[in-house]
Amino acid sequence: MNFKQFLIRAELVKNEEIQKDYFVSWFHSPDISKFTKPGQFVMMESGQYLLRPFSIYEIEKECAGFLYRVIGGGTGFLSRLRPNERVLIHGPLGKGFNFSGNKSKPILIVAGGIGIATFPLVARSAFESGYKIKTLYGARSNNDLVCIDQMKKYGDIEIITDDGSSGQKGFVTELLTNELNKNKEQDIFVCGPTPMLKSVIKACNEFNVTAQVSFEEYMACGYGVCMSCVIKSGDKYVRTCIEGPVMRSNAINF
Amino acid sequence: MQLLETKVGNTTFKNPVFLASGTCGVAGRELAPYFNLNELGGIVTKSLSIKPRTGNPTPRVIEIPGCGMLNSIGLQNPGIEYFVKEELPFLKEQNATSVVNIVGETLDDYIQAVDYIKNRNEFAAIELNLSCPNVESGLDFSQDPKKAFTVVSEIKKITKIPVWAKLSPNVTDITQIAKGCIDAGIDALSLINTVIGLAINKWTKKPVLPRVSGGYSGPAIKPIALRMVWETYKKFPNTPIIGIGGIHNADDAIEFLLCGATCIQIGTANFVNPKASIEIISGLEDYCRKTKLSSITELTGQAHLQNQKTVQLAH
Repeated sequence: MNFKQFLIRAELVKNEEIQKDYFVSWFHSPDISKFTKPGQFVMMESGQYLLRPFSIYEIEKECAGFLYRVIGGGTGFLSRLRPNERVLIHGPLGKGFNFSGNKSKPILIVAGGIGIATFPLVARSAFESGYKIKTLYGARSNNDLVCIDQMKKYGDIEIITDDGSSGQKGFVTELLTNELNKNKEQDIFVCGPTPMLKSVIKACNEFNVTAQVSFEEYMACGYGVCMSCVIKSGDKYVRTCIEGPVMRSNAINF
Repeated sequence: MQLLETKVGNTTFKNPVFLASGTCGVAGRELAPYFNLNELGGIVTKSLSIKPRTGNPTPRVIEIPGCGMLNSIGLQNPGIEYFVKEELPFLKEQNATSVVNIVGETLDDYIQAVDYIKNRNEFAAIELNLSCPNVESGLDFSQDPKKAFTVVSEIKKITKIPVWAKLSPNVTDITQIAKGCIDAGIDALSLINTVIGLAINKWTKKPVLPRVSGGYSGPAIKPIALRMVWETYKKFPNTPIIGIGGIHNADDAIEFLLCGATCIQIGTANFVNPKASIEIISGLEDYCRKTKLSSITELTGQAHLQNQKTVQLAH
């Protein structure tokens, strides 16, 4: 069977604190590194009972990196892992972002908060395939902005913060509205917290454009058996782990 | 006879390890990439109803740290007809043994759903879910021995397929419900479904799950399940028991067998490790070899015997 999901005990190569409370954990995982598509995720053991979903942030040779903010027991556990320690990683899972094939149509990345974690790999892959990329990035404050230099390698970036401590003061939807006023013919890729997704989708609807949105719902299994991480599509619930996490904004009732 | 071969009534299974209903998608398709589904004793399908059910709003699960999880899926399922048309051919193609799990809100729902499959020969058994805590009236049939008796006897009347009943632990005395099922001619009892539980979010100051309570599963419920298997086996040693509840490894499975179970089902462990069931099968095989058993069936109920001798490991 042509199957590209793996269940491995991966070894931590390094843990980097790239900013206060923001870590990147790198694991040696040749199979996951080889088969990951931009926007996919893994389920990772993190000292809790259930595994936790993590976006795949970057691939470097045989290693996969995961960017996260330390917020609880699971992320705390990961941030304290030492090199050579192993955890169970299951992936890559789910459907990622779909590149249109039309390279004259630019890609517009809209990231909110830790939602940025999925985009370095997306942006690099798109860039290497010849797409023009622009990133709109909103965060709470200056202290919560990560990956900016990295994203700049692939295209322009505009920043907005809730408190105005960096870039403009406000929400990322405002940047999106400005951008869509200038040019609607862009492929919009979105990831961020649920309230941000809601306002971004609302803005897209007002401009009559569809975005590819990476959704997040509380997940138990990550591979389609538990039916927990569902989201409403028409009159049915679909699984964010299998049918998503990236889905078309117009397919979801939000 | 193979080492792990097991019988429930007159039906022989390759081994005593099954995937539990509701923990392997609709019918195990998502697990097929990790191992051959025909290596299992069997797969118990998602609870299927006569009509499709959309299930409950989210959040549907919450982890209970270190202990397991609470769920309130609400029996989301595509309906029995869809299952037979779209999923059953896949199970047949995989040469997998299947047990079809049926749920209903009323007696008539159960009858209609079973009626739809009663003459098919693909199923090793029908498991009646008498005990879902996450829907209105879901527990009625397993909290009243008379109602349990009625539904089992009505189903037994219409089909020749062996019938198992999956009972709820949310009762004062599970053996009374078991007796209702046995009097109605049940072929095996699946013990246990989830334990009703609740979690509160300290920030919203409300229950986490929209329907307030949910089904508690995972390692924490294993002792509860073992106690219920023990009591039921003690009273009704001739009725096969399928042990379910927090089984994560072969050691857990062996405890259930010694307690009185003939087979076991792997549930929540599948969420954490898709290969849990297959690892348990090889663990059971190891145990049989190490303890020089000629058949795993020798384990069933052994913990009830007086003068048990500690096993000597084979070297």
